Amino acid sequence: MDRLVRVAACAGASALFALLAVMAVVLVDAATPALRILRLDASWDQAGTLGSAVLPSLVGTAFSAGLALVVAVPLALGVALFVTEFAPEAASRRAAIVLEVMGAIPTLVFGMWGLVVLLPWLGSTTVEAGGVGALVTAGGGVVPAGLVLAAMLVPSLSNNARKMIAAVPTSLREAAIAVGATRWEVVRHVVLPHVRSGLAGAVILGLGRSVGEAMAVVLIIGNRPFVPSSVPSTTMATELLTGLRPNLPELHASSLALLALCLLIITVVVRGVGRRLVRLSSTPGGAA
Amino acid sequence: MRQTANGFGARTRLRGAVSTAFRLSTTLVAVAVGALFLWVLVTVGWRGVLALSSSDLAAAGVVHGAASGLADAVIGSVIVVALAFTVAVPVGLVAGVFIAEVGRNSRWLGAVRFMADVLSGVPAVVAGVFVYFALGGSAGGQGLLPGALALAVLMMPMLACTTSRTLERLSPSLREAGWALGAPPWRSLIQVSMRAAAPGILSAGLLAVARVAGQVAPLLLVMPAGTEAAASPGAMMPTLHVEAYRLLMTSDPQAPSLAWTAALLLTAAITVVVWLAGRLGHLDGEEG
Repeated sequence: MDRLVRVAACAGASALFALLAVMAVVLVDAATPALRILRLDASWDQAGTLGSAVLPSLVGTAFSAGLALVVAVPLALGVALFVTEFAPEAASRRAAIVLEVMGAIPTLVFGMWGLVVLLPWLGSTTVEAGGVGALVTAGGGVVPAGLVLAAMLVPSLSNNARKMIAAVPTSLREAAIAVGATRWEVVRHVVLPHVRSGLAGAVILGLGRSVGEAMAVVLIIGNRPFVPSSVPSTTMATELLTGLRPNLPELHASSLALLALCLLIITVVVRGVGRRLVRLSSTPGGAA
Repeated sequence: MRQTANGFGARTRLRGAVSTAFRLSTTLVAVAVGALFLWVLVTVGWRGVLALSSSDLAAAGVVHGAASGLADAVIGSVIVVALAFTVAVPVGLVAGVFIAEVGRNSRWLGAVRFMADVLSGVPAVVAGVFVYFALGGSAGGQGLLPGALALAVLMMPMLACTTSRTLERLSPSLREAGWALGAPPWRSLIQVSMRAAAPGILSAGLLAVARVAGQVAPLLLVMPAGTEAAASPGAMMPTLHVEAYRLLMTSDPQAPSLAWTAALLLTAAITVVVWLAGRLGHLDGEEG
């Protein structure tokens, strides 16, 4: 019986390895036609849509995810500090569940909100008339996409930051207060240095999420896979979402698989680095 | 902090002012973020209810371009999420047990934990693309089972992470007490550790369900019921996820308002699940 439990647990653990391995193999296999062309001929254009989609989608991904972080990090930090430092006891106890609920709102809902509230507000054409389909290929761009991503990131980011800040030893805070530090000075000189590396990790995890998010973005970014002469208006994730259909030409499907493979590699690496940092800060003695 | 007779008052006042400014700005940020989320929820609630009140859920979808009524979509969503849960739970649970109990002294522990972390960051859209290609692309890559598998891919590592974290949080003396009574490790694991951790694991499981249930992208790729892509209608159920997106895209002027209803139903269901998870137990799992 003991053996059985042990074998089952090992099987479950190896299933995780198998999952990532199978994922990589399947995507590499599906991407082979596109990869072959890449190797034989330097021209991306031969891969059909790949040539016109990959570069803009890379730029679009980098830009929207970057903007999302720039906007979301200060907001999340503000929320986390408010909850841990100033909020009334009762509110701060409920913060976890409120942030959890906020973080579980489907990303599609953020996209829809962006579509009917943010876009008109930013001066794009109104959505209501003429069907949304028209707008999805016309309006938006990478800036509203980044803002919607930021809104999506804030709950999880502030929840992680909140936990880290709450884990700062009380004795450290008290020591600072005892030598006459104000609230701000405690935060600036004790709390923030203590959570720095963990916070960096949480931000990187957020980066991973916004790079891979398709649903919140696809509604408002515009989905024009042009080489970005002006503003890129597609990301890798939305390219996959809108591009993959049955009965595609082989090369087209294969370039999409390649795109998915790139996205998988990027998110795995980003996630790995982020986790390292978060863990580093949460193990006792590991916080530097 | 020099306390010269001249400098003291001005300097203290400055420090106090900075601290007050800090307090005000975090409060402002927290209020702004709260308002933003209220705005998102009110938008989806208001628009969703408006459409809800003016139409018969079971019939309205058929008229305005949905595959069938929204009532069918509710059933479809429940079925696909439940199926994904059934596939993901055994693997996720057992892998979590490996990390927290069986593999505690294994040299693979770090690797398994890392794998679970990294896998829970795989973008939803990539999971969809993976399942699509893994099951043979347009031939067999779409339908109810692929949809459930894609969601299960996302759910599995989350469950592994949360299960292991809940088990690790148990006091070691509990496990030792089981051993001291002469129970073999498996009995102690199942009758002591797992039983003590059950509420935590359940609430973590609910949270994983809620998070994954909000993912629209994979279902849009592998279960696009009602689009011309739907090759095998028998296996292709409508889901709230897909309907919300598709209704938004159709040219029927009435359809987008129903999309809000679909989004509202989805959000409400997820909120209830998260709230339940919060009632049940700890909401401490960190998630990026």
